[in-house]
Amino acid sequence: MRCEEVQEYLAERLAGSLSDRLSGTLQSYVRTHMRSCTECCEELEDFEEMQAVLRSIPVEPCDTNAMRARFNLLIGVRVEEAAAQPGPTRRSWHLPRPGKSVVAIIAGVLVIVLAVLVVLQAVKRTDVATTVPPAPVQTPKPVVAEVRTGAMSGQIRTASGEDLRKVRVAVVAVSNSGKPEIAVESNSDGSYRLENIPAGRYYVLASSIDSPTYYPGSPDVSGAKIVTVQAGAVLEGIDFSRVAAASNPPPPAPAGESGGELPSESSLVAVDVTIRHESGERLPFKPDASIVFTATNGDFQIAASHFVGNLFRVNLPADKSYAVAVSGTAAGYTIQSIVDGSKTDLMHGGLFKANPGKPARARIFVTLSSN
Amino acid sequence: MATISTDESLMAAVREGASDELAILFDRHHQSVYEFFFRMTADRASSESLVQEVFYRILKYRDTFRDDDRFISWLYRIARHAHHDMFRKASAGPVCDDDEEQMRTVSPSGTEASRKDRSAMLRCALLNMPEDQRELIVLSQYHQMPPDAIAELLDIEVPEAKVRVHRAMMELRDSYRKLSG
Repeated sequence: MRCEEVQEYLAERLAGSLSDRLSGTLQSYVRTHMRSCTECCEELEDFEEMQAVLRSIPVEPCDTNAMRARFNLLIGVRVEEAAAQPGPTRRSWHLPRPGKSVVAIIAGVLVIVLAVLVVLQAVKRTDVATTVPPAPVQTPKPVVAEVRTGAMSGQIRTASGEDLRKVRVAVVAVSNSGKPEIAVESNSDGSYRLENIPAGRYYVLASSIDSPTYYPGSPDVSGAKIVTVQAGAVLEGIDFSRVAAASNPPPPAPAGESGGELPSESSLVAVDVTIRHESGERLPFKPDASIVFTATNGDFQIAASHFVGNLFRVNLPADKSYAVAVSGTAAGYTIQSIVDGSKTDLMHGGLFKANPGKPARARIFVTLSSN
Repeated sequence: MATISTDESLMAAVREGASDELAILFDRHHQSVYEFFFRMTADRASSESLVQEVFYRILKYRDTFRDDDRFISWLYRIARHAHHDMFRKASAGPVCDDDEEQMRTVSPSGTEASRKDRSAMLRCALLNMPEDQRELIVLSQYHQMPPDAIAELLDIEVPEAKVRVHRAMMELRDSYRKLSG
């Protein structure tokens, strides 16, 4: 076997197209060749080591429950949409309507009333005929006592403070697989009220189908606040801000939420912002921060709160100047402010300028003060 | 008798309107799709959002699934597009700032430490690769996607898929060597 053939073998192996059985015979040829060829031997060892190390690179575990919750919401909404049109649709993933629970409670009450009547009748009979032992009467489980529910209400608003009408609001239990428990559509004034929520801890989601907003206004579960529903209580003021309008869903990129009127997409310029310490050193940890660009003419704000490494991605309307503010914490420190914009050519006099037509990279320097 | 439905038959059912069958496909594949994104982006929040985006697109574009499509190839085609769309406006892919920092701080001595070192360096080398090559490595090495599925996914011939995987692995090895000195 020659070196070229070994290379071919290696290529096949790296592509994963050799089955174990096939490679068994081949491998013995390769091994024979390896004994005499140091170069091929080293190459194979290199790749084997690299494959082993590749496999050892850890993956940060995902929040399956939250992902499931968002998926269920998607399915629920879509199935309901499809159900409104004629066509074959199974409804097992349909969001339960609040009305159904009311019917269940009424049915439960009726069962109990009937059971009580039966018991009373039985008692009366034993009074009359004392020789007959009282028949053991199976009292049905008190259904009403088990259904311990609460309610919540609130208001849906956009970033600019407008009320949003007809937005789906759903509560999703934190502890179970995340199936939406109850969902309603907000009223024409943006208000909503959810009834008959079994007591427990919930995420509350307002959805425009593909981009749910978690209460109080986060695009993902990491910024969600858990709401505790207590039996018999009404939680008021579960208000949402920054819910994207359903008619105009935002792009899938999670970084960058917009508020106010934005210029057309064509004039946006992508800016990668790296957060650094004022000394110029990288932050040795991933900060929990958000960054806000405010147009100097006061037109709008663009906020981002997602990282890739120490990196923010923000799509900014070009040819405008922005005041930039970073806030948040990082490993026991509070991020105070931008201390020096002069180290990047995109910052002039403390203001940030994005030029059209070319993607930009910027470094934002911050001061850290210990908490 | 209970039968196990294939991915393809489930997806065909979704296409015909049985959206709830998608839940089974979600259960089967969300973890590996998440891992694909995590290895492409090194960012949990983005990866979770991208998984959501993929299943949204599956529903939205369910009519484009053909009976002779292999579901896994079709799924990763959607995943690639979702990832590509997310980063198309950005100037570059993820930057492995954290890892360089990590590399400076880990102890060079000891087997475990040097293993972690190598792992961090290789991760860095992987993240700094061009997106198309990174994809090939992630799919072939982590997801054990065979060359014919990769070929279907990229719409190329099988020998070409093998060549590309090999080339990507060589590139990775070279940049890994550079990093490890």
